[in-house]
Amino acid sequence: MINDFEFTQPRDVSEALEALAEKGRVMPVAGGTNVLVNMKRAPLETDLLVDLTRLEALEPILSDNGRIRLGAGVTFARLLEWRPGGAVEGLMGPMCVAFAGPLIRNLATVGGNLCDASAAADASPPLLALDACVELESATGGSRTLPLPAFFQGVRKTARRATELVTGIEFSKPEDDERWFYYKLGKRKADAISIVSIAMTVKLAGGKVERARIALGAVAPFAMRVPEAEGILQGEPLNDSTIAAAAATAARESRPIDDFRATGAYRRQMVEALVKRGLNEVARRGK
Amino acid sequence: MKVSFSVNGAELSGDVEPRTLLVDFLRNDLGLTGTHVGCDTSQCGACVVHLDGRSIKSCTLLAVQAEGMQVTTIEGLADGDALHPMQAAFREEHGLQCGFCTPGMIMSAIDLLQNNAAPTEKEIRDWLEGNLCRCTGYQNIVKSIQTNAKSQ
Repeated sequence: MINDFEFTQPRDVSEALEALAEKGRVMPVAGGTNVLVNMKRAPLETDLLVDLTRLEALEPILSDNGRIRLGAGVTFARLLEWRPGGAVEGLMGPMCVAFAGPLIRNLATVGGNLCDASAAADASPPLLALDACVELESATGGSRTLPLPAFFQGVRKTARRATELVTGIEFSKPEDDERWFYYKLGKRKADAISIVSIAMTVKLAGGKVERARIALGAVAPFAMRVPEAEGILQGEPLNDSTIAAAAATAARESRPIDDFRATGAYRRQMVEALVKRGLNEVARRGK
Repeated sequence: MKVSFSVNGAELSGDVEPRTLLVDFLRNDLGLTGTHVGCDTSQCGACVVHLDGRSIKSCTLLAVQAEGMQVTTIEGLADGDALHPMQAAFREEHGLQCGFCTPGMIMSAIDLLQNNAAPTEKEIRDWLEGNLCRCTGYQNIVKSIQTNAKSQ
């Protein structure tokens, strides 16, 4: 079922913002790897499709003064080729490999993945673990920045207003000794959607956790951090008892549902197992 | 709406509805039926074409999005009667059975060798994760790509 709509292909950000400010229902599309598949199942809820693929301003990856900025239009193929090193590469690299396949990675963009806001969106857990912010711009409202947890608001719902364009994603580059863990659990390796995905960054100082960020995908209406589990680790050494307590708490904080990929009970068990596995790996690394 | 882009080296312009998928435009308007529709949900890879030299699934792009770009389909590979080396390798190694996935496999494989001239067997198999073949078990497809890579 493919409905009628108008199409526009703005050449720069200001043209795109004007298009998004048009009356009626307007939908931005970047790589289109979700939008165009969804379009075949149900009519797109839009009168105007705004193609973002020609906006060169959304393409750069910038690294400046310890801050990293990904243009919203950066494709997963380019993210995979990127070599930032450390925790950023340690999280983003395997996430990109786990993301669909090369043909989809050539089109799909990181901004599109976040705006689609699937609970299982692959880019969300690593970016949550990196404490990323989303930059939004509009023709009339200027620009604003939202931390990722405030950007996600519900099942495929974000804080983006209809007239706003997500232009970039920004985060601080972790220090060299930052540790990380990433895992995507799916039914198979190739081209599968997450049952549970997890990304974490942990900063240790003097054998104790100075800061832990643990992010989970596909176990709540949107990708989430688990603040209680993170809090349990704060100031503590990573040992069997702190790891077990954090893992059990993370499982409790998750809100998984039953669906055709897995039951909620299985997902919850996997959260516990994967948080445990991740923290154990983080504790071992560097010893 | 008006759209103009190049297909297999020929500049063309036409009038399409915005909702027209590139694969439907290629098949229905241009008669280039070598690009197949398998799943129509961007999983099977039967519809792979090159967009400015990169492999993409043409069921996940609107024809109007290709404005000003270069599209290459399976029909654009051979030079007259001389097969593209990748096509020749698929014939030599019999990298097909029913042939439905073959155009997409070949378009995808050419992009792989553009990125990585001497891929390992694992790299070939990983690259093809978005191209499904339900006949061959992939064995001869992988062999075909290796044969082409070795001859380069």
